Amino acid sequence: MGKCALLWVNLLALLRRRGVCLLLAALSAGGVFAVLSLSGLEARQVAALAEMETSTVISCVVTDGKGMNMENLNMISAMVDMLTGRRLESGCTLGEYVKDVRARATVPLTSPEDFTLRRILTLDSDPALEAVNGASVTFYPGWDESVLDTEALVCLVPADSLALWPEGKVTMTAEITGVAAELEIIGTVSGGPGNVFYCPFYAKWQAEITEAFPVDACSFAIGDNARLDECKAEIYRYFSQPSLSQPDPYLPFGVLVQDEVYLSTRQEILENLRLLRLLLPLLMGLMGCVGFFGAYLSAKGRRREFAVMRCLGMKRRQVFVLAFAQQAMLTIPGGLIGLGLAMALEGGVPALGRAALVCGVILLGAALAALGVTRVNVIKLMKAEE
Amino acid sequence: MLTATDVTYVYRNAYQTVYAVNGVSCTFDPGQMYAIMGASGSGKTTFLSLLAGLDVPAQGEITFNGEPTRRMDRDKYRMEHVSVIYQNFNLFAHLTVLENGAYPLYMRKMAKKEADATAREKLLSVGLTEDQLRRFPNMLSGGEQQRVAIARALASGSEVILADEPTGNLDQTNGKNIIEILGRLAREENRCVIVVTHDPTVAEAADVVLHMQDGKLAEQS
Repeated sequence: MGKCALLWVNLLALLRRRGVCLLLAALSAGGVFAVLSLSGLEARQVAALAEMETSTVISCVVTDGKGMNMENLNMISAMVDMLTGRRLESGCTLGEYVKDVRARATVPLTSPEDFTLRRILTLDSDPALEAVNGASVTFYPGWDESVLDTEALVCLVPADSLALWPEGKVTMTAEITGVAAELEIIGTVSGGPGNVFYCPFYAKWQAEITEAFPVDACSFAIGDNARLDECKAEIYRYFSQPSLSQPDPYLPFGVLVQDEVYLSTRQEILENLRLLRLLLPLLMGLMGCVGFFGAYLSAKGRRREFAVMRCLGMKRRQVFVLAFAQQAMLTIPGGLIGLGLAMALEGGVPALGRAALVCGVILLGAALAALGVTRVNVIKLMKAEE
Repeated sequence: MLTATDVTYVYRNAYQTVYAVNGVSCTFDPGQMYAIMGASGSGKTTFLSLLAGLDVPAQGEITFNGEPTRRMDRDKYRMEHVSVIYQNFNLFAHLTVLENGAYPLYMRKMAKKEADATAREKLLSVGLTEDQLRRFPNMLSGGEQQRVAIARALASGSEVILADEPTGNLDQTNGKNIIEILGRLAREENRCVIVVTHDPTVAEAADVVLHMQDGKLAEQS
């Protein structure tokens, strides 16, 4: 109780110095608020970067040697095999690095007359189907989209031509090979071109012609943008870049990774982050120094008071505790005000560690100042004029 | 009670060595008011600081009730046995008169209510009014501020009261009043009062007058 009285009257004495109190509390509040605001900005940039890495779709387009979309490349199925991991050439697969492989091949038919067959990997790999996004594709019970990635001899037929195939099967002949095959109807397509059948990309009409058909388009996305460089290196290992100067008959296609926008945006965020990470310690140091000197000057201005305390018999240790406690009583509430402001404006729980660090630096100043006032020349100060 | 034996104190710097106090021996007893007089630089304030336990002699000994201050906890000595009053009052500017008076008691961990009651009694006993107890020091005259400093010394219960030019900043009337109070403390409350002063009127009121010159005790009357 008695100890409390001493602390209480000293706190009162400090609070009666309104200017000093407000200055110290404001320094502490301002320091914490500024650091937390910048920390919040940094956190948002980090979150944006993480969001970019996980959700940005970087398209990769397979092209021919002239950089155009591929046409009439019979090797495309081998490439699609590699992308989808079906073909483990050199014991490797790209499955870890790519996702959303889309490939489409058009097979002109001699019969049924005026019909075309499209071989697709997914429902959205065909623009016509993508337009309706599968909504108008109706699979018969027991079938779904996964069949498109198989070798099954099945097909989707236009809904308005369903009546032409009452037995649930279509016999069709490929124009290129002249080979006929019978495909089971597993669903219908409404909308889009009315004279197109859709069948699995790997559907085998006959063992010897599994890969011999032209491909219209093939694209895929990078599997993990955080590993973009690694993914690109691995993809380029499989597919040479288009090069007119060094044509390679065995590698007539290449891959364009369309990551320019992603990379420039990422670079911008990284530069912002670099700047923030440079500014933050500087600001923390600056605010800490300002608080430090605020605390120091405040205590220094009260040296005579502390000299009187020493003269009255207070021990150096007690003077230190008293001087430090007084500064702490202003710094900590000031810091909490800064924290509250930052929470109100930034939302969520800010970087408490950094707030504590700023307060800690200010308190270090207070501690050094308190240490300084324990060493005052009592005799000189007691004799000095006001 | 308080004895100085062959006390010497030396200030040294790069250019010279000054014997501020040089072989001073004397004894101070309770119930007496002492005046230490001397010209500026004669060493009287340094001697007072040594008596207050703010420093220790380079040679010789100051003993309080037989115990050398050199070997005691001098912070405790100042808190419990000695109070110092200065010319410039040295009050806490942001504490009220009552809080200033009670401060030594707060330091001794006395409950605030009890400390305030004791301080009030001492403050009223030196002629301050109840209304003045709630004021801050800068709202009082110099004489009133010096009374607060004396009341603070009284409240602390010190047996020895040391005063360094207590009337230096006061007019003649206020100075006289302060000297009367100090004299009363010595004679009525059996305290040992030692006043360092230039003022001959203080010397007139003292029971014993010591004269210092060049750090030495010149004469005693």
